[in-house]
Amino acid sequence: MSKAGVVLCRCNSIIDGRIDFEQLNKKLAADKKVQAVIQVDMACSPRGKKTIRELAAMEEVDRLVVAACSPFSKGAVFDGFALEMQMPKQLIELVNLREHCAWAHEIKDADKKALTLIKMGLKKVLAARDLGQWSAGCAHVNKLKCDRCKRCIEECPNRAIQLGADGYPAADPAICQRCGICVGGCPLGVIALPDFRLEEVSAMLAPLSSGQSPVIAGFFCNFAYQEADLMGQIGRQHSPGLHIIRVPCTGAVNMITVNDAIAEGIDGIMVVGCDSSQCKHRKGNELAKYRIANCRKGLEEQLLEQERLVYVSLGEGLVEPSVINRRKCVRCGLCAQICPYGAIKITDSGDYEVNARACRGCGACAGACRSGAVDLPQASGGKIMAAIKSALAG
Amino acid sequence: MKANILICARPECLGETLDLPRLKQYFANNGHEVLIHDNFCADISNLKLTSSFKDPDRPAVFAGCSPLGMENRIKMLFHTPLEVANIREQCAWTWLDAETANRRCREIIRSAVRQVAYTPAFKAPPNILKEQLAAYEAEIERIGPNPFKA
Repeated sequence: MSKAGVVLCRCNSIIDGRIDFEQLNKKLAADKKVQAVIQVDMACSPRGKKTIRELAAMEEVDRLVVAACSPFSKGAVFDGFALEMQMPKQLIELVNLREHCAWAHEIKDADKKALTLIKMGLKKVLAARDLGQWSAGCAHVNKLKCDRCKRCIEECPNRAIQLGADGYPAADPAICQRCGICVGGCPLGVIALPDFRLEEVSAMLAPLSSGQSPVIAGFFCNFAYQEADLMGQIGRQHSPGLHIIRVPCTGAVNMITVNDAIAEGIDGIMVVGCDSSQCKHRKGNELAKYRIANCRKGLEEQLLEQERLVYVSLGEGLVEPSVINRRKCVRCGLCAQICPYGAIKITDSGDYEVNARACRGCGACAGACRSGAVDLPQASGGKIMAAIKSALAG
Repeated sequence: MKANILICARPECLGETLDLPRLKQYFANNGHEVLIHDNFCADISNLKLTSSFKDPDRPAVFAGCSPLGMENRIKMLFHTPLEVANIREQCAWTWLDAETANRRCREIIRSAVRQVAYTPAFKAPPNILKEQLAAYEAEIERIGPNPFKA
């Protein structure tokens, strides 16, 4: 039987200054599925790592929920822990208590929300099973259940899935970008990523059903998730009714999961991703919108309101767009050609300008411009040269 | 360019390898104002700066943890351009030898001081998430709770 441990990170009193850890500890310790609960000052520090290792060894815990900060902040640190402890990294779930709870809500709402978020994490790690996807390291098709409809082959934006010699689709680990678009599109739900399996996501929805209305499940793509992190970091709050579940891309949201969420009694489901044509995985958001439109029809047939499922575009405040210096620009148009998001357009006057809403700050335009007319405000040429000069000065 | 340098010196974070008074002296000799803060996390948590520089309009450098952690929140505490020097993950936790750690720490902060001249001031973006969520919650309240909830 699986034994889960919970690590509550105080983060130098940043998190426990807003969330009552003693109450949380008591409630979690009473949960039969929880083997042990510990509090550490900084789970990401060498000292925190030592404490977590001791917990895993003493209590024979085989999976962990670490309630700390955003996976975009310290996710790599805990992946490293998993490697050192020889534990598949899917068995360590990082619950974002800092950006999505302590900083995002009033103190009176944060305690309750924290418990729900940790329970969601627990459900996820307890539902984690290796069906071959961990060793594959990329999208994995369960051949026992696959009916060879070939939809995954058609929809994969990288053409990483091809028909194997046995007649079943298989992903090439060298090409697969783990965007999860195949997971979202599979009508039978038989495709899984190493850290993203539909059963795990559906399990995460169960603790939400007991919440007060309106309870909203938000499937946030990595880009939108970072925007939610940013809002928490700068102290901009949002309603505690939203429970964010990170998905690699909005295209990875399978409508089976959406139907599970409706059946669990969740009032609303938001699929939150990039604006049109701004998807890093090229067509993930467009496919998500198409699937949502079909699913909404299905909801109506079941006499449920279509409004329970929506697609929302986010990620606008996350990056500062690149800037074109018109005095230096020779109007060669290379930046517009190279921009993967189509964010640079020519105006009526013949000048090139950046659509701030569409720019993702990747810097491809700045790297390509031969006359040095394009700059990224946060990583300008001058700033990079200053760092190089400083390094050379010794 | 002269900058205001704030060093977070919490021992649980940085350990005891770095010689912070010597570091402070080094940058003060170069015309920068240096403050050593014992627990800057408290300021970060409360979004309120408790230490004040003599000239608060100078660009600032925060020397402490990785910018991946809390860069934007730290930027909210300063009205001037701010650069983060990661002396925790890339120095204190990486180098066990005191001499190397102190030399690297000085280099990292010096690089950030040079870079801050090219850094624009932080502009907090609007809270679109809150707006979109409020509109959606109003819609859900209009149609009522999920009938499966019962």
